[in-house]
Amino acid sequence: MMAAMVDAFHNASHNRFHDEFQKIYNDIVERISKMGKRKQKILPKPEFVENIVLLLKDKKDVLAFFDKCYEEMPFSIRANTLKIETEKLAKRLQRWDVERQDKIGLEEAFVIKRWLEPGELGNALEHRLGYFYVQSLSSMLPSKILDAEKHSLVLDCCAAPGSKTTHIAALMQNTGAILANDISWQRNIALASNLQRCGVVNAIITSIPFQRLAKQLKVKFDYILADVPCSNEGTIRKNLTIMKTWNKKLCLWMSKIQKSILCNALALLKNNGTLVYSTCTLNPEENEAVIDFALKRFPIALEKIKLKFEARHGVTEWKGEKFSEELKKAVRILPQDFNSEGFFIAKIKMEK
Amino acid sequence: MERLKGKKEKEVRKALGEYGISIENLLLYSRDNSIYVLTPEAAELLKQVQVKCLAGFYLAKAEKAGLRLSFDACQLFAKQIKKYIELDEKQLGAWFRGEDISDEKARGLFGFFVLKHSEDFVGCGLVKDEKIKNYVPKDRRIK
Repeated sequence: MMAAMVDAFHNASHNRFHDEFQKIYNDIVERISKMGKRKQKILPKPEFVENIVLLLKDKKDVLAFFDKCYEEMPFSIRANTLKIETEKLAKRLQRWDVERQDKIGLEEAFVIKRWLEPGELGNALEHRLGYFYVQSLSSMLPSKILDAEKHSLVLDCCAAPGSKTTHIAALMQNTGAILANDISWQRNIALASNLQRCGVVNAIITSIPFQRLAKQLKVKFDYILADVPCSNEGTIRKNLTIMKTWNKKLCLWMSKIQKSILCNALALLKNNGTLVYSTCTLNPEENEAVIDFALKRFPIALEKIKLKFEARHGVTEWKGEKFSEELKKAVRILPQDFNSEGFFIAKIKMEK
Repeated sequence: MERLKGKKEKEVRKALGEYGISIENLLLYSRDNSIYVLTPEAAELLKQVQVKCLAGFYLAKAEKAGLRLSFDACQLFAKQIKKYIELDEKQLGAWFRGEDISDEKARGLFGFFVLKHSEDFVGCGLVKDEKIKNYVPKDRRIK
């Protein structure tokens, strides 16, 4: 009798959610229908919208998320301070009407406000001379948050094509050492080329599955960046079709890979060492669930991330699964809060 | 890749000195005729990484006419470089199209020189017979 009542309650709440969800989905479709023809062709999968509704809860927030997803993302670049001072680059790039991003804590970043011709960025003399790196603002945050000290030993687990590796090298002023690994030789060609273009003298590139590398390494690191492969939900603004092809199985499959990478990386972290875990995806399966898995297996704690703009805390509950309260210290960056890509970042400290 | 030591290391450091470059804080390596540099910490890590890897920044190539600085070394060590020839706007365009350059300033000179335009050091060329031979890597040329 009791079980039947519980079921009835669940069904009623499920139906209520479904009705509410259907209304939100219709609103999203209606808003998209008012956009250009190219965008109208790409409607988000209902399952993806459902996940975002569950994550954000508030209808206004969900609509703001999808509105932003369909809005062009401004180009952003990072001054390569190994080759040029940020101020000098700012003066040179006035022709692009660049806006410095120091107010949000990204001192070496610029947003380009002028419309650019295709290829204009890549063909610019400053790009050919390695004075800047084309990179989204969100993607600059993990290296900043890692905050590796000069002369330290750093591991970048999934390094290619090298935006974050070159950033870390610049922040360390080309001292210490970075072991940059990526499973794909093909992607490592781009990594090697970017390290050379940016003038990085402290990096070593390896190209084997990270889990295998971790078993072979006899050395431990002061800092580790685990910017793991993911389902890329945060990069929708660059590629709308992600919303169309999204599937839950991929997220769960990725989650398994991410847990394996994170646990292997933690085994290589020194006592008191720092690891930054980041993804450019939003679902908790690939974020909080992965960190929670590691929290149960390693003597680690999360460190609060201080940002100079609004970001969301990590969630402590998802689809009935409870996560550690520590996850509140992680951040989820959404395109409607920060005019860039979506990202999730957690800063982990290895305790003694 | 082999660590450069003794006489060979001295020779390379002396050739770098001719450009005005002193990088005592970096270790030198060679593979074939190419010279690479690494920080001491990265060199130590390299010893411990027992898997196939790529290491170091490509600094220069030892050629018959001397040491040719890599394109990227010209900007990385820009503040130290003293041995250079200045290019005008028109010559800069030709340089980035991958063309050799004729220049009166090259008269009577021989060997490798860094090319400079305004504040930028834009690579290294071989000066010979009043011409500057182009070595801009293909991926940095104007397409």
